[in-house]
This record gives sequence, structure tokens and C-alpha cells, in this order.
Amino acid sequence: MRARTQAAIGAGLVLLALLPPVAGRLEARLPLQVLGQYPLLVAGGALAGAALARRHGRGAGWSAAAALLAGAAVLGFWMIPRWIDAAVALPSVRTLRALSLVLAAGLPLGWGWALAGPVLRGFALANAVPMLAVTGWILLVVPARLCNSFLVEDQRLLGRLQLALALAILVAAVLRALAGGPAQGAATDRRMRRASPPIASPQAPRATNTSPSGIGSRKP
Amino acid sequence: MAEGGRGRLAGAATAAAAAAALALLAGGTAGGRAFTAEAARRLDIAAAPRALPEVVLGDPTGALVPLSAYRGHPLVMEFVYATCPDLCLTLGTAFERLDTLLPAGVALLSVSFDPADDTERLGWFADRHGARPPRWRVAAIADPAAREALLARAGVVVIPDGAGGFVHNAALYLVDGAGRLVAVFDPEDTEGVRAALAADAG
Repeated sequence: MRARTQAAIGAGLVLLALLPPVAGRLEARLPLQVLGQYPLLVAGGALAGAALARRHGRGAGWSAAAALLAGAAVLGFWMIPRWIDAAVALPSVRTLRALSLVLAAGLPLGWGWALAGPVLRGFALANAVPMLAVTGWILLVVPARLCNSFLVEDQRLLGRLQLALALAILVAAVLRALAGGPAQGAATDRRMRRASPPIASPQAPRATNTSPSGIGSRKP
Repeated sequence: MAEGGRGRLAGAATAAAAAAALALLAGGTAGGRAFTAEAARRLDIAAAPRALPEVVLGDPTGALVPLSAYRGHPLVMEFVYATCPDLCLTLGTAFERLDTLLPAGVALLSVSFDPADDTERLGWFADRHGARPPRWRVAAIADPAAREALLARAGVVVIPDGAGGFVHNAALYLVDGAGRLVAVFDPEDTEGVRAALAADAG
């Protein structure tokens, strides 16, 4: 997919998530908000971030881990019940959330993922999936209603869905590993200088990771 | 750039991102003390007591009393609706306990947030719990704007429960003699209310 097409699809996802009738429905229920609207906004930003990395990411492999971490923190921030409530109560917070999920979560996550080598990608997933499961478990077992703006039934449903999603990602990752395919990851900076388009191509050549840190890059 | 230089750059960037992430999440939870809006509201009110707006309270006898009439003495408030099947019963029971627990100078006030609560319905709630003014008044606020202003100031969030009733962040509210909301307690925490009043008196 060309970078421009990718960015355009990203913009489409963001528009869809914020279109008043769609946004109204997604924001009315906690699970739809967190597992519907958030992913649309983050994916929208991520597609643009990955497109940016493809065009301008040459030599920027060093920024992959930092970008993934920053994007995850912003996404995590908007999972805090206090701020979910604040976004319901205050239109300004709601706007800030939409903007930051696209620009401060999605964009760096797409950029970082596109530039990350297989080890960093694996490390990121190995942290994200348990986090998804643990927060889902908390939503299920905490006796209190965590969000003033949503029913406890919504909280429990979101908890169950997060656990199911975490399990599904885990199973998919294990099956893929057992199938013996190569780990997916960005090419090295060195190879990026030679070939184009060098990164995040689905047909990345088979390679073993021999970089000293094993993070952020790999050499063919 | 040399491989080592790039590695150092990656390390520095990641450390900076980690520090920013930590600052964001710590800042967003008041240093881990407020993951919920409820906890944040209580911290905020304890740190900066909130003056409550003036409202006119109508009780089951038809009497109209301004909230400011309670100035000069401590007041414990709760927000309920008369047809509530669960949480408000807990609140009502907590107020029954406070009624026997608290010194004579402290007033109790159950305020309905349900516009449909008329004097008859307020009477049900008052009778069920043995509320008798002036010690314990059950009241509604007829003016919708005034009612919303008071709920917003106190941080009361009411949402439909999907079955014709409401779900709300139930709590006990301590108001000082100057009409300021100074503390919020769990619905069961009558002992906390008593202790706070005793500490103030002492």
C-alpha cells in the first residue's frame, strides 16, 4: 500500500470514529467507546504514523522504542476511569482525547511499530497483551463501579471483552510462532539506505537478529 | 552515525519517553491516589472546600427552605430519589444511624435529584426512614437549573439505569457552618462522618 493511500485510510477511520451519529453511539456505552472508538482513532493515527515512517523514517530506528512507549502511555492514560468520566462530563476533555488518541497515541505507535525490529515488536506485544488482560480482570473483579458515567454492567462487559481479546491475540501469536514463520519487523537502517521501499514490507526477507541490542533494528 | 552512537540515542530517547509516560500517568491519577473520578472529587473537595450554590428546598409538608438557612451549623447531605430500590436505602439507613449518632446541632438533609419526586413521594422516603424536620429534612429542588447547579457543584453524577430508575455516585456529604462542602464519605461510612464532626468540634 502506498504511503498516501495508507494515510488517507487512516484519516477515513478517524472521521468515521468522530462522525456525530457514530461517535454518539460509540460513546454511549463503555465497551463500544474503549474497544470501538479508541481503536478507530488509534488505528487512524497509526496508519499515518506508519506512512510517515516509510517516507521519513530512514535512520530513525533509534526512536522506535521511545515512540511505542509514549503512544502506549497516552492510550493507557485514556483508559483511566477518572479520565473516561472527565471526557463524558467536559466537551474540552472529549476533544483533547480524540486529538491525542490520533496524534499522541496512534501516530507514534504506527511510527514506532513500522520502525521496530522483531524483538522490539515482540517485547511490545508481550507487555501490551498482559496489560489488556490485567486491566480487563480488574474491571471484572473490583466490586465498585469505576466510572460514574457508566453502568457497572458495561464495566463488567468491557472486562470480559478485554480478557477475550487478550486471549485471542495470545492464541494468534502462539499459533503463528508454532507455524514457524519469521518474526515480522522492520529492516535495518543499513538496508533502508540501500533499498526502497525498505521498511514494514510484508515480504520482509528472512533474517536473524544479530544487532547488539536486538532492539529497534536487525541486519540481514 | 556509529552503531554505538545510535544505541545511546535509542537509550536516551526511550528513557525520556519512559519519564514522560510516568509523569503523565502519575499526573493523571494524582500520584496513584485517584484512578476514578470519585476518588479525584474527594481529594479535590478535601483540599479545596466548595461553596454550595443557593437553592430552595421543598419538603413533604410543602415548606420551602433555602439551603442558606442551614448556615451556622454543620450539615450532612445525601442525594437520593424516592423510588430508589437499593443505593438510597443504604443512604437512608446510614442517615438513620447518623440521626442517633450525631450531636443535636448537626442537621441532616436528603435531597432528591429526581424531578418526578413530588411532596407525596418525598413523604414515602421520609416515612420509611423516620425523617422529621428540622433535624432531618427530605427535600426536592423545584427549579431545574438550581438543582443541576447544586448537583454539578457537589460532583453528583446521575445516569439512567435503563429500567426507569437511576444509578448515582452515592455518598455522604459534610457541609460546614459556612455552607461549604468540606468532605465526602462512602455511604456506609457513618463513623467517618461522626469522627470528622468530632474533630471539627474539638
